Amino acid sequence: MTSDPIRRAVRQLSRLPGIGEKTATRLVYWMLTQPGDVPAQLASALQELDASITECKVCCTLTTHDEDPCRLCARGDRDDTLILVVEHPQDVLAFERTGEYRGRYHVLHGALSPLDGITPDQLRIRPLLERLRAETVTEVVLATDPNVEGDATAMYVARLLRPIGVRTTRLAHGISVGTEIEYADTVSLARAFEYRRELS
Amino acid sequence: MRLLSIQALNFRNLKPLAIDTDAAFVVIHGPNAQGKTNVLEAVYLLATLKPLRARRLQELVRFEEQNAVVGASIRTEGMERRYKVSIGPDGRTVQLDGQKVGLDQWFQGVRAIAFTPSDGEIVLGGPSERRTWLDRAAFTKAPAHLEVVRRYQRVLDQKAAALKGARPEPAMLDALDVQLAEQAARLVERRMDLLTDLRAHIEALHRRIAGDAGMRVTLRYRSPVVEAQGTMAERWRRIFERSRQGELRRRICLSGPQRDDVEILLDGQPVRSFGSRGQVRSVVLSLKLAELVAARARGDAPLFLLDDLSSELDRARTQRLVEVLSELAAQVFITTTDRGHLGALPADVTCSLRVSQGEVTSSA
Repeated sequence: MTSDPIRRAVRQLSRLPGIGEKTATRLVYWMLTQPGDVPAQLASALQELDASITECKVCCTLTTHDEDPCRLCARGDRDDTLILVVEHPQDVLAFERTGEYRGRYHVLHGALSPLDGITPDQLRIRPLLERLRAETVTEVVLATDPNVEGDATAMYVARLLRPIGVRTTRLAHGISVGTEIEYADTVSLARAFEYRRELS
Repeated sequence: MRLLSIQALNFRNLKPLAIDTDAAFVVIHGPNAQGKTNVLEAVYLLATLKPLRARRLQELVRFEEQNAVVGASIRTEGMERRYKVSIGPDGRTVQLDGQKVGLDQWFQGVRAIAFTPSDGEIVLGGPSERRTWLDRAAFTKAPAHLEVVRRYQRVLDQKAAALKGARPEPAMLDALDVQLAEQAARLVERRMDLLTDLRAHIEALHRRIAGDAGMRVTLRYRSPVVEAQGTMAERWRRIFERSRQGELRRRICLSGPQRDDVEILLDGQPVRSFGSRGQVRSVVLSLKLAELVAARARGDAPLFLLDDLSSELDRARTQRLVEVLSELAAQVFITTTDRGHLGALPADVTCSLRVSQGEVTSSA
């Protein structure tokens, strides 16, 4: 018979993405058998998250109350004419890892999905429009995921931007670099063909 | 492709199965209700990962068992590989040469076209029967069709959900309609390409199978998009625009390829209303054969499965069918209660299997 606190902890942990009930159970028992107060340390770290994390008032990515606007928005060496629109804060990190992108970001916190009850007003689209009015942006790059929801979101945002007159582009998609065409999946390959470009 | 051997465990009523099938014609014979169709069902599962007659995959598992396994050695373009499908309570898993693979790779090596007694529904049933057939045929032609169908369906589901929502925002519906039009265009272009393929062959095949000279088979794709102008995606977009008011009123999707149909005519008359039983069968069989011939013309060689042939075609038509199939050099699986019905199959390319109470044995 499992006692209530253990069961409650298991239930909470198994809500996390990628963690099932088995893994959650293993984690809870592991924490309980470790030296040092693992549950308390974890709990305080999580509480601190809750207390200190907020959305950046400019780009809506996650940041702390102490750094708002976020570190990237505060930097003076970035290109203010360019905004890259992504679904999630993690996508910002992915682009930063490339070291190629010098512009600003905007995080929507999701993509349109009426099936999951996600409509435009749940996304950070209004703050994006306000930025475009206030800032000197000349191009918005829509870098939402290349799936049905991401494509619909890009289309939706592009249509809202049309009257503003800012150049709107969509991230290219196709086969990944370094793979061989032979092994690329058919959908990516078909898309790569569809979005082919001229060699000058 | 050539199915060299097949094995099955806990599959329907079949006793553990392990048979060689390396022949152009594999004839599965025996009295009714012994399990002939289950052998075909196993081959169909390998080739499509879907059930042939059962409604759900789990129905393929032997009563009171948890898991069923079907394996086969298949030679495609000179290379022999091991295919294995397992069905359990949580769905199915596939292995190619002992490794997990994507469906892409799987379907490169094995595909099938089947003709079963229930296929009369393609002609006699509602539009959804014809769409299902068309999409399956387009999949057999190019497995990427599955992804096209799925993607279209996903956008359609999103739009349906948006229409059901509290106050559907027009700009959001616009964005979804642009997507939907793009996917609809891809889907319909593929369906129409397939019909073009079939038209090239169906006439001659029908004449040979039916034997009655001169009846013209016509296949016509029925969709509001056919008559309009502009690119396919533009046409769909305009159609969706026109449906918008009604859709907002009724809160459902009112147009799209999910409502299209294929008209099947014999001498200008719908076979559905005017065809005799014999004519319906000849037309459906010609459709399936046209799929096979079109595949052969592309250099593909899907397996051809014929279920319960003796109940479907008279002796004369059956023998003409066997003649056509012999010329096509595709591997054919036939179930029948009466081996004599098939006429003289060339002995050197025929493998004969007898099914009795779930046990399959080779019968020379």
